[in-house]
Amino acid sequence: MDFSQQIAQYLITGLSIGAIYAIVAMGFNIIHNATGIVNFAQCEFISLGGMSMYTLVVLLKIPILISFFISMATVSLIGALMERGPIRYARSKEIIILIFLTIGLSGTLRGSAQQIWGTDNVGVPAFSGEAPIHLPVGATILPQHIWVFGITFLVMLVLRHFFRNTILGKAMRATAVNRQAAALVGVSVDHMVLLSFALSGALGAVAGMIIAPIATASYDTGIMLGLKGFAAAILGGYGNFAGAILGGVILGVLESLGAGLLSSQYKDATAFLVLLFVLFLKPTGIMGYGESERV
Amino acid sequence: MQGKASVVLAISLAVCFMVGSPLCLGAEPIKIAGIFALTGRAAHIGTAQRDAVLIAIDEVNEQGGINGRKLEMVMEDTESSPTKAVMALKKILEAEDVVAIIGPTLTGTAMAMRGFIEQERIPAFMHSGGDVILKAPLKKDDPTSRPKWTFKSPYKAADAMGKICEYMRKQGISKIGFLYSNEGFGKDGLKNVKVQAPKYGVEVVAEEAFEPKDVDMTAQLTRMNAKGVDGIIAWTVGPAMGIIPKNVKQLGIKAPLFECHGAGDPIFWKVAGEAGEGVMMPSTKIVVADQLPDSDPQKKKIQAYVKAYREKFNREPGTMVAYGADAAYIVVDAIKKVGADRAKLRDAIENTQGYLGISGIYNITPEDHNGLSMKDIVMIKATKGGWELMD
Amino acid sequence: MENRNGCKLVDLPESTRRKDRFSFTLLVVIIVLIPVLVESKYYLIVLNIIGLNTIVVVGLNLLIGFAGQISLGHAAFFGLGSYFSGILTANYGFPHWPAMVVAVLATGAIAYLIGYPALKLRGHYLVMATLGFGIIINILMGELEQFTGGHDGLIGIPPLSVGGLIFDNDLKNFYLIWAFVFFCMLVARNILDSRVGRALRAIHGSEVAANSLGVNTSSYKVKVFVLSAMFASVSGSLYAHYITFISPSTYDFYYSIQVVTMVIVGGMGSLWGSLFGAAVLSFISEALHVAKQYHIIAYGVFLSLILMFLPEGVLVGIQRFYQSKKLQRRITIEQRGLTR
Repeated sequence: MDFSQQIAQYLITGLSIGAIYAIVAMGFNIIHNATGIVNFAQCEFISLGGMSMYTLVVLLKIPILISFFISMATVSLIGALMERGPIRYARSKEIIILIFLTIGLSGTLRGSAQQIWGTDNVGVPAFSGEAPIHLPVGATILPQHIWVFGITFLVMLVLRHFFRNTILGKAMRATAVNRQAAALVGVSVDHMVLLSFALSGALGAVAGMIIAPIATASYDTGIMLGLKGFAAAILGGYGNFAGAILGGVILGVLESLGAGLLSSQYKDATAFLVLLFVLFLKPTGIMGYGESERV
Repeated sequence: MQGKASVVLAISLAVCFMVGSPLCLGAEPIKIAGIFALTGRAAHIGTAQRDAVLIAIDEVNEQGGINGRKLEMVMEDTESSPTKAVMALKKILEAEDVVAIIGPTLTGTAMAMRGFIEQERIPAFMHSGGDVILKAPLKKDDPTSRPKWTFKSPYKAADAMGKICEYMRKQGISKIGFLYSNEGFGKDGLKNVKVQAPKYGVEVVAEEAFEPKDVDMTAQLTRMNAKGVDGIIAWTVGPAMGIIPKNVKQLGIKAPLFECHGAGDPIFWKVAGEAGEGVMMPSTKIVVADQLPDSDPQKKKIQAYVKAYREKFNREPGTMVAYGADAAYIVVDAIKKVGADRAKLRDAIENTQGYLGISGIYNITPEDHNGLSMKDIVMIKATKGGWELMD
Repeated sequence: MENRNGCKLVDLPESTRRKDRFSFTLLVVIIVLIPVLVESKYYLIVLNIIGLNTIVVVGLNLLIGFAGQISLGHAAFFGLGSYFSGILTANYGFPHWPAMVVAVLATGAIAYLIGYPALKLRGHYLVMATLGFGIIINILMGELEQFTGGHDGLIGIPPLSVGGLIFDNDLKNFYLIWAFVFFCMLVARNILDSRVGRALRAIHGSEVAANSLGVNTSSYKVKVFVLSAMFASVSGSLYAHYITFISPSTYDFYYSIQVVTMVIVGGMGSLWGSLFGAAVLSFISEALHVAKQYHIIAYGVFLSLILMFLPEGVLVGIQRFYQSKKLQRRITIEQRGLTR
């Protein structure tokens, strides 16, 4: 294997990891765009997506396509319930309180998932076989990676369109900027926030489901992915969907190039170091706009 | 909080009084502390070990206990954190009159507890993989100050590594890549392979690390493959056990893949799927009990244990179950011999000779608080959703 | 109290000062009395961990509660304190107390280097920067094996001592740690009562306004960040000498999240709330072990409920509750008076 082939493989690997970070990052963005908070329970949405896929496909033998939508709906419902219950009834609407409330809720969800599914990692079958595909540049990928790329890109396009061009999407953005003003012009703020939690629940589940055949699933897979996804969102510019893709891809490629060319022990350290430098040079992320509010 | 503390104090005084009173004597159970990582990052290992120990204790109790006294395990969770492990230790030692400790799960928690165990003078049989628990001196300035009260049941990682390298020499594999998870267990493996491989004429030409929760190791494997390795050892317990075989298959790497002595577990098949076919690893005999020759002295004991395990938990035991069970059996055996006295118990455990365990035959000495050797390890191969005993 | 220029400080009313004097005295009395009442080593180690957490939380509250800046990287500073102290004493035979001072100064210097650029960031970006910094430091603890002992941990850290008195058991460490808690709280109190404190509160109120009034906001933010890192470092040194063994997993980002949670549960911007936050959460996470395998769920539910219903923090929440009760009673009494 010559050097250019190695590089090609590093890039392909980086892109496929990056696509996953990106889809997680978009889940963070949705809730941020409607409420301004960081939803740490996003991590649990990922785990729940993977585990419910396992339950449906492996244990109950339901076809993958149907399972996919059932899982999405289930986790979306959990997201909605989270908003309907604790988030809505929280006495304070201060952003930092809500952020830590999501940490509390994420602990509750994780603990429950551990009781339901146990602690073991489980595998989920790939959507369309596991025969490696050889690319002309000398790198190989799995069919599942193509699914990851495709779904991530599709999600990005749909969300971008939704937030830019539809009334509902604009209303959600307005809610994040100024709740009172949004309410004054007739936006149902409650519904927007509820919708954002349901949507990001669905998105978290999708992330968990498409990654499960590659990386296996367990009650706590979401923590590390969630952390990296958050980093990707910040790197790209928090709240920006194209930025999420960019951030995810940069982070993924940094990690795999770091592991392949520099040192695999320090690959995460390298990635975070670059992230810090980018933030110091561009304090709102690569594609972010100014953020005036304070956590 | 003061009120609460004094209430607890009063209750514990009352309990002490009751234990001491001759009326209760005899019926009182013998208590053993079980300290495991039941939550946190090592929860998947800790829960398996807890189950393994419970079987051993149930078995003793079904046979009427020890001299009419039942065994009882008092359990605490370390949450996979060293600080919490020390707290759990102190809590259990105070609240309950325990004679020995079984656990903890992680090497880090074991290291944090070690000093306090020596202070408290209570025998502890640990499940942690790292050899450092027994090797590292207690005092920095005195290299001979080895722990007196600490034992460990999993065989030495050095021996497991030696077993792989020995097998590699037989197969003519000479240039290998070592892929490890970047935490205590993986790093321990890295140190061992550097010592063991040269002994068998095997050269480590590539060392690569990954984070325990990483989702993809193709970058590391590509780099390794480019160095022309003819064998790969992957040292990790966790989801990566399954991800690595998948990545190897994806990249079309021909070099045979070996994994660590924790991989021989049903979880391996759950995470690796078809890609797991043909992966080789050192293991305890528990996963290949039925394939052992009838001449093997351990065979009957292992088969009986596996049967009990299947009945109780309705699943197959993995290699790590054996460590948990042996720790419990040896402690129980020592209690049978010398009674429920910490100091006598420690001496008895230290003099365990030729103990027919599930992981192997234990010959514990003051110099070797583990007692297993390379003879107790078998090489197995993942075949058709199960395991095949090699050589 | 008058400062050098003879101007009256008006921001802390005399009643608050009196209350604080009372509270500090009460704290001393409680610290002295607890070991008389508690003989259990387990309860002492719980109290000691509460004390160590309190020191970190008090420092962090200066940053979060008063300057309004979030850090999810304080596990790193706690860890730097532990590792500097541990490495200097265990590997190089440094005397303990100078090692601790070096640790605090070095941690402060590192905090300055990271804080100077990081505190220009806002909101979630600052959260990510500190989180990333914490992760990098945590990785270094595992990788710089020749100094830190790697993932196997650093063994043989000697206990602290004063003269002939060696702090080698839970009780002696209790007095040592809580003396530090007392001292750190006093320092925090005095800082809040100074020019810096007023500047910080101004920043929290409105950074723009503070800036326009001539407060060099970025310099103050960095200063308080460094200070909070030094508090964490002190606590880390004490931890290392108390447990005598340290390993990287103690200093992962979960710990950073935990201490910020304590700040919030205790009440942002409340000095005594910090003590309460650390105590309540440390104690609850232990006490909930009675729920056996469900303790993680129970803790999550408990935390969520507190944040939902006592968002100003436990201490303020309880005070409010009593005040409203008192008010109600007074109203009903007055009403009765009126009807009669």
